[in-house]
Amino acid sequence: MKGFRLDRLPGLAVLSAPLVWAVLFLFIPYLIIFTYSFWLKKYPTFIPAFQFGNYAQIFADPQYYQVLLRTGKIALMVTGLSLLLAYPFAYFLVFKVKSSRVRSLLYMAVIAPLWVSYLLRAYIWKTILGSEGVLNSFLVWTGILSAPTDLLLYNQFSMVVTLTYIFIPFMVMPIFTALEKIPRNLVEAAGDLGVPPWGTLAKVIWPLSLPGVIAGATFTFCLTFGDFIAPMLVGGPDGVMIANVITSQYGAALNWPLGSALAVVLLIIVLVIIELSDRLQRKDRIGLG
Amino acid sequence: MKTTFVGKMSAALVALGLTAGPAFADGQVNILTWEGYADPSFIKQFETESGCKVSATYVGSNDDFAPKLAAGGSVYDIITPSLDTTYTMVDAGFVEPLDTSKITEWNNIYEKFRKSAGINKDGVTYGMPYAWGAIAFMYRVDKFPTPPTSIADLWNEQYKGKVSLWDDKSAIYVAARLEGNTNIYELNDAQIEQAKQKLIAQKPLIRKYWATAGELVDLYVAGEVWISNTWAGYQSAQIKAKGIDVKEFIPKENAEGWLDSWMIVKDTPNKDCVYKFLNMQSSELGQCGVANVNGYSAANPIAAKKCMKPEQYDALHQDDPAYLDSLMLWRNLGARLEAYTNAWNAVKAAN
Amino acid sequence: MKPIIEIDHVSRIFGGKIVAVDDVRLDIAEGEFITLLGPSGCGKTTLLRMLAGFELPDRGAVRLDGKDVTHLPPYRRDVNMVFQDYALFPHLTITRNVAFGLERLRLERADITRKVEETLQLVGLSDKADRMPHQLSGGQRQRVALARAIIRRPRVLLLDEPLSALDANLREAMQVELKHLHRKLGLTFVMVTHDQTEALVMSDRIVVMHNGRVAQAGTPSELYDRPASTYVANFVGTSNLLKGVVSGISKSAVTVDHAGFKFECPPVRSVVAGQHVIVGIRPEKLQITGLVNGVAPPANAIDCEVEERHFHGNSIRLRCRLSSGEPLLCDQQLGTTGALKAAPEKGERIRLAADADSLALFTEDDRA
Repeated sequence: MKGFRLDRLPGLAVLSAPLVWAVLFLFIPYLIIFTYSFWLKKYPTFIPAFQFGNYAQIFADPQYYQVLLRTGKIALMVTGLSLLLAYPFAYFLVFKVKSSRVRSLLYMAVIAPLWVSYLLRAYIWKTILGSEGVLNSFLVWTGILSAPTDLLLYNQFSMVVTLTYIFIPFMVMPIFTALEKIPRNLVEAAGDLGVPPWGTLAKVIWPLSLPGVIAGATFTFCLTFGDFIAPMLVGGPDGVMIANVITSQYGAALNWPLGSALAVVLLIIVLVIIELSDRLQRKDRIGLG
Repeated sequence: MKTTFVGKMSAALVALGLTAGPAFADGQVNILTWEGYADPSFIKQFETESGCKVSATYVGSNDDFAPKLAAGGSVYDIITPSLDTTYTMVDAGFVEPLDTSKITEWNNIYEKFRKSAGINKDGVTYGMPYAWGAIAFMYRVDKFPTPPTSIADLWNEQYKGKVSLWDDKSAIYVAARLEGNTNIYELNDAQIEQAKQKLIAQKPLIRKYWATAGELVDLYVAGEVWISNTWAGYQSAQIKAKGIDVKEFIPKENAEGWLDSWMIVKDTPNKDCVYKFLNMQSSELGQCGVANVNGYSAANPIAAKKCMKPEQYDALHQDDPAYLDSLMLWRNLGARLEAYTNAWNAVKAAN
Repeated sequence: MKPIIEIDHVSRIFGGKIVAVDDVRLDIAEGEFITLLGPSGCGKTTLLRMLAGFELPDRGAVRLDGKDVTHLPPYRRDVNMVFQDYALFPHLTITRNVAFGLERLRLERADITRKVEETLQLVGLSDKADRMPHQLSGGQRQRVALARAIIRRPRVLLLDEPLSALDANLREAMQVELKHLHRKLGLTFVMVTHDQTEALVMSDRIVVMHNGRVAQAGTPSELYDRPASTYVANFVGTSNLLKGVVSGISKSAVTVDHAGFKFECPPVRSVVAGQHVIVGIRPEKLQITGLVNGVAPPANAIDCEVEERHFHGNSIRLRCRLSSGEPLLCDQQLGTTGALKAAPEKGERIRLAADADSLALFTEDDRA
């Protein structure tokens, strides 16, 4: 009699590996951060405690909620700009490009930068937008500007541009997929019923692609919301975002409890957004059966 | 106190490269330090002579020491925090007392450094002073027909969008001096608030706060910045090497001085190699090594004199006690640190 | 009467080489129920899509009510389509699906509501108005698709295999319903199907298509009784096709020899003596005249051996084999009691005969 069969061990290992991974590298760290968020900052480091002072500080001190609001604003702008660029592009790919080879080529052109290092892609924008950068040189050369402008780099504009460029594949992908899933005969049916192409876009294609739009907006918003590299590389003095504040609480301020409380708030915001988006998508998907 | 952004990012890689030390190594020393403080130009010789293998991990800022040590794991044997951070290391219990009797050149190190409050607590010494310098100011020669002489030039509307400042609590020191508060390490809340408001008012003029040495170099080279503070000796040399003519200056409001010291991480098992390493760093090999690689001044002028050319010795103010005395040497802020960092964070967060 | 649709030498070539529709000429009369019939790939759907405006002809013109609509986009044509898989808008209720085509007509809200109610009533779905498409059965969706297409009262209603997704019983009921609807609305219906029964039951006129061309157009009975080719003979209904040689030509008949049997076919085609031809005989036109005996068979009679019998309820199908080795089908009505008993058994050799009128003569085999 064998109570435990050794030959099942590999299968068990395969199944439990992701679970162990999730517990070790997701659940436990979250738990640690959550615990820290109630601790107390005390020179030189911090001490265990259970108090809500860190959370109170976040909502009392303008520097924290101001940064949260700014982060939300930047994330919204990036999401909006990405949508504005990604939707027409995906629409063009799915409905206007006849050759499937050209279509997958153009699609890959948008997706391919994901394989290039984030830092490199952000650096590229520094060389484009800088005072002596490509764009300024061009504008001066064409005579549009008499002297290079400082307005292109190291401000929120350059952050939005860079973040949009970096995260736009996450907008294009779900929208492209959603548009591709729309049966072509629905478009034909709308035309057949007397609705011109723009009406079809508004009444049929847009509502049916909403799940993709919501998914893309969620990705883009959440990724931007947690970003800290763009502010470092192309952001100006007014470009600090919430993740930078968390970084400095863990570093310079040596205030892990406050940093943890901020991280918990950030996590909650992102989770709420994901949950909302999930509900919206579920509501929209009913239609597609 | 030298680093570049790329250097920070590839720290692990570099560490791996250094690991490929001599095969006959019978000991090791793991250091957490600034890039350039474990440069192969002098570390190679040490490894051969001592038989101690050196593995270095680099930090990008003084703020990196505490989190790395707080994370535990006894990965590092020695560290090189600056004088504003050393005392925190002591208070936090991250480092252990130094046996100065084991350091041959100990008494040749500037007394001002040896007796510094940042590395001494209750009559016990915790750090070995290594390299020092000024947080000087710097400008592009071609953009300033009249050379700037005051911190006020960083608040000059004329240079709007061309100013940079170190992304560090030292910004508070700078603004406080501009306000006429010379007790920059003992500011009260009102004075800190004053400095904070001054810095917020400066924000529209700021092109970018520089976070790493390399970033400031890039900002000058790309034409983005004309005037800023700087780690004297280091960045200006790099910028000049790239064809931009810059000049350092000590403003009439004076400059801060910094000092990096070697500190032994508590309970290191590699004490033998650690003291060999400290003896090397405080002797000619280490002292001229750091001066040549980074352009910083040496903490042991006796050793430095033996290996430096007179011009270099002179340029690094090694026999100029007045210069050293004029610098407002960094100090441990203790419990006040939070007020300073909080104010600086508030400046950055402000709209 | 002036035709409502004129298809004027229309061709459609895909990718510059695949000829989907090849020089088709066809007039469709107002109020007609016309069916494009053929196997998949015969070009019938492409032709229908050109009427809707989803495909543009490479050559030729399409006229609707005398107006050239060849290059008019779908939304500017007064035709509506019932799609094969219905193409209902999944995000809209039944009411809004049906009302979709009215939204651009600038009607009063009340007017729209009334029309939608009427139309839903017409297709028997009044109680489903607020459902979503995925909540309906296949047959119900079919009706919604129909309602959506007829609510605009288009000049022509296009139906692309409208019943193909329904099961057999429902399909038959819908055939009748569609036919009623056609009569009631008085619209012109153009339907595409590959199902000959459907075509025969519903259509006023059938256009059999083959390789992008019109093989034959005519009323169901014309096609059935006088197929223009072996292809049509085989596609519309079933035919025995026997190869033979012309042995005699007179004013009233063409005599064809097939393995010693003689057929006196109506002289509908000009042939010469000795020409190889094909005789077509519908299985149900063959009568059993008795068992094979010593007497030589008369003209239009043929002997064969019963190999299999298949009971079809109201008829029985005999699968026979001629002495030439060719198979022959023969259907016998079971109208009277005892007819089944009287039917020949397997292995019996029987003599079959057909009326001269029911024979078809083809000069070549174009079944392929």
